[in-house]
Amino acid sequence: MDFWLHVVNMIGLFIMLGVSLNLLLGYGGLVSMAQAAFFGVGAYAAALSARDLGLPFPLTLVVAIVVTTLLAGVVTFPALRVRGEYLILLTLAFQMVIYGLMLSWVDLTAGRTGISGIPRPRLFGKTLVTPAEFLPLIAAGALVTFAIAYRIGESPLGRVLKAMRDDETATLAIGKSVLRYKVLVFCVSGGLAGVAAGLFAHYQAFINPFSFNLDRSIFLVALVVLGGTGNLLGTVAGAILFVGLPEVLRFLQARQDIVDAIRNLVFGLLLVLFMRFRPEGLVPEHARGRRRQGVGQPAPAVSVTGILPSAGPAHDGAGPALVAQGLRKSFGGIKAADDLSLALPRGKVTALVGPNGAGKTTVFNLLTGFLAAEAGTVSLQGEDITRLAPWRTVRLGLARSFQDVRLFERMTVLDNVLVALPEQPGERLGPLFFAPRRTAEAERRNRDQALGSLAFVGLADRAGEIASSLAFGEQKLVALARLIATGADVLLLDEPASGVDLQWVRRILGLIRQLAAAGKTVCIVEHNLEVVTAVADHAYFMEAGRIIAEGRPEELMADPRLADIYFGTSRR
Amino acid sequence: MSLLAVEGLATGYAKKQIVFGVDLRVEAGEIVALMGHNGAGKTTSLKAIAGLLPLWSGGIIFDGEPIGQATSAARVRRGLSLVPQERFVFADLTVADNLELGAFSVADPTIAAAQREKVLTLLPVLAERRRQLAGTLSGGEQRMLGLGMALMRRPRLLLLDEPSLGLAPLLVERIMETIRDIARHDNLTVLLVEQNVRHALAIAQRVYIMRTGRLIVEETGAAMAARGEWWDLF
Amino acid sequence: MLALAAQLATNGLISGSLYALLGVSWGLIFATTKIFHFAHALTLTVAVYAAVLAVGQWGWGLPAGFLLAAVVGCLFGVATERVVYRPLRRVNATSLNIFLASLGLLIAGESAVLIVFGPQARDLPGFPISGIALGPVAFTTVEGLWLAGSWALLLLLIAWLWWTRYGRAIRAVASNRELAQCVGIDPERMSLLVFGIGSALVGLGGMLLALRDTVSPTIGVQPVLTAFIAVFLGGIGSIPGAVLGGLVLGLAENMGGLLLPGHWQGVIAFVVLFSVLVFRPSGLLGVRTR
Repeated sequence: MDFWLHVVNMIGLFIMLGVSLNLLLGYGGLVSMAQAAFFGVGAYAAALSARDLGLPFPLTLVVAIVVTTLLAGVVTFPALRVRGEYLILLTLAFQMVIYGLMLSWVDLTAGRTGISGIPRPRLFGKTLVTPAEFLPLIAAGALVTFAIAYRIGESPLGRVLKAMRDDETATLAIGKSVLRYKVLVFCVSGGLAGVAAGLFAHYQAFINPFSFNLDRSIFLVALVVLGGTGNLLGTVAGAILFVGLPEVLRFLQARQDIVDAIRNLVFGLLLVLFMRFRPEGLVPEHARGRRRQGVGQPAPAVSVTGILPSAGPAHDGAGPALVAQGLRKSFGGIKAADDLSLALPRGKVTALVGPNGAGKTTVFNLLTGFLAAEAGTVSLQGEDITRLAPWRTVRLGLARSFQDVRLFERMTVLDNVLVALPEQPGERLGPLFFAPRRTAEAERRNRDQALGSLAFVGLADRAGEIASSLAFGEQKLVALARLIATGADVLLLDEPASGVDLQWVRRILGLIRQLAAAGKTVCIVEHNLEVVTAVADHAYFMEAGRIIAEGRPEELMADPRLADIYFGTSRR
Repeated sequence: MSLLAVEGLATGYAKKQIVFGVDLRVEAGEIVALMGHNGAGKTTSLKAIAGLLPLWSGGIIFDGEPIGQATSAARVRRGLSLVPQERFVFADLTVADNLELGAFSVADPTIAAAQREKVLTLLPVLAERRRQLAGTLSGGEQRMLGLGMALMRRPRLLLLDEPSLGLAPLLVERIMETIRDIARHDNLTVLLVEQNVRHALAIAQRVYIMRTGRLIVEETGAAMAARGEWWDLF
Repeated sequence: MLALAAQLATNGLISGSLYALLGVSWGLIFATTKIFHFAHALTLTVAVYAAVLAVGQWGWGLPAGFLLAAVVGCLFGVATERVVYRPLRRVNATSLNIFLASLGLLIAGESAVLIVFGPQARDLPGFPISGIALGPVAFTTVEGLWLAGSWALLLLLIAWLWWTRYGRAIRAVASNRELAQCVGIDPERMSLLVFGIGSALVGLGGMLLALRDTVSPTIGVQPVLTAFIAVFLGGIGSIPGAVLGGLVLGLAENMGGLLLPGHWQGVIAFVVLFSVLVFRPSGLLGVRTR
């Protein structure tokens, strides 16, 4: 009996570890090969503080959580700059450093011998020793950990994490500090692993480095991936299946190491097969029944002003909304912006036109902080924004779209728009856990607002679909709805009509006119001069990083000099 | 019989369709321009013709043989050769290595050597810089190298993706003249994607114009040039 | 002190040479295919086990054992590419998913070796070990072979990459896959080629290791982690970079003994990697940033 209760306890511990890793990997898109290292550091922290400092049980757990959270925070700093293979390698290195220290820092960890005699916890006047006595504690720990992770994962905060996972650049472009959320998710994930660590140390009463090696980290990654990334229930299912079921093998009376090997063999093969045939895991992120959001709700009546949230105070002063002066930027000798100045008049549509390679998109990148200018200034509503990070410029009211749309492809259409709304209380841990009502109310309001944005572009009925399943023209409209949702007053649209059919072009142009009429300041980069004529009040003509003419689009089109640049000159 | 005949070409990236049924043909010895605004699907069409992207439907016939399912390497061996729009040299390899690689599909080393002489005579700037890494060349020189690499394998049909992109006007002029000269002397056929309309019209006999993945105009270069302005098409 | 430094530098050079070989064996595959081939560790294990079996049980000579390790490694690597990775590419698997499949293959493979051959450590017999003294420094014959063998293989590989048609084609695919296709190189065939060569090299590298260390089912992991580090230190995509990365790593590990307390010895490699990733993410000789 005790054996089975022990198995249940182990499942509980692995649920905690798996859930903590899933937040990082499945939601944040950050692969960590070091979860066992965090687990180990927490376990050693709890064990040493209990045995050598004589701290009582709940306090040792707190120590474990604090230590792992802080350690995660420290590791985050190098990790912030890297992604993909580099992050894998970095966390791998971290795992090996920690494991190496556990083995060789004998004064502290006693090396291979490990730490024994970890005091049994006393709770409610009872000392916990047997698996049965531990079961309620571990079950409670697993439940709380799961609840915390679920609350985060399924909240506005979790939505930002998923956005970051799908496209970091686009996440910056909707005004979210990718940096902040990375630190946050690393710390939360570390802290949750600390819960498992503290309980594990007391439960085993003995720990040594071998529980925290690379194999364990790999096992955790595999468990989360097989269970299903981005879905915490999958992790629970994974822990039950892959920690629990193999124990049945013990009844084959085989040797322990052979049993483990058989389990790992099956496990490894499953991982290979899943990647080929079911990469989304046992329980996919968008499992049936989870795609209800927004579907079937009546689309609210749409008025343009109603769906236009404003990030900052309304700016109705005179003068242009955005002014750039003397911008310079070169890439390896090619001048992409050469003493470039422009102004966007309030409530008007301005166009930036010119031949391919003239530097139009570079201008957008310079204005919004995606590229640092070598010289020059940018001011928004009179305020200098030259050196600001992209997400800050969005919060101040300047947002841009991308030529290749950059939707958050694995999220629903509604979530794509919802995530862009500014100042959501549910994006911060404090309100999320301590002001649930305010969070819920804000979420309801935001949902209406996002649906309104979608209705404005005519896609309210597609709210529940996965963004990547939409046609390209529809994706452009979702991107527009997302841009509107940021609440920015100045909108920079990079080729809003390129690559889509004529019927979509008309619709998009109509929407742009409506936005301007509602007071938004719009600037479009566009190659197609017909589009420009149809929508823009004023146009700048660019060539080789310079603005060489400006005026009404018709005037520019009538200028033979510009036609020469645009179509090329030739001497036959 | 056309050297290249494309019928109902449909293709795209991963799940995203870009080109929706394009029919075009190129006769032997012709220079044909494929134009249209950004995102119209020109580059994507060229890639599918060269075998870099799979055909979703439709067919490609080159010199009478269907090649729609052949690998890109097999198409190169048949004489179909693409110079891509960006990254058209191996930047961290030397100019000499780049030229050798240009002739990778030519099995016979004596032919490759003869071709190298020819290319270096045609583009003498490359000879001076043989030991340099290709990435350190100027933009114009890199264009020349990209073109030279394609000529190393003696193609019959050259697919050029915006050879004038990012070049100063004088260089554009030169590269266009070079293309025309090569086509004349070596009886080379060229399918050219180009933004610079007048330059393209200066050397192209026929023109196709694309919009959002479909062809919207097919005309002779002369008729096209006679319009004088093309704001409605781009 | 000076004598100690000279000895440590020699030790660093010796292990650094082997690291360079391991690094290049993995870096060649990574640069060309962009696959984070974690199961390279399994290739090493399988190749060395085959040789240990042949030499220890069937009485083959040691040179034949080395040859067998290279052949088995080569075949195993090629099979991995064909059976595991190519089908994944066909369904447009993300690079993360390919990495995970590689992890799965490693777990499964190591376990299979353990089930078949048992967990006990084995030896590769037959190599005469003795000491060699060269002025102020001394090393063993095994270490001498590491030095000679690693450099012979490295120079051979570099010569092949730089001066032959297929070597050049591989550098072309590593540099620019799409353009390589445009000039008529078939990247799929080059993938097979680099998997074959890289895997043969890691088999030989594993044999060099097995001359000194005992052989167990998990023998492959540590050397391949070292290979990752050498490659990322030197800058991904650069073969000379991987050689340099391996040497720097070997020297840092050994010279670190002069400055750091003993328990840091085992973690120096990772500390070095950590610092490089933080301060110079493109690596020592890395060209591509992004």
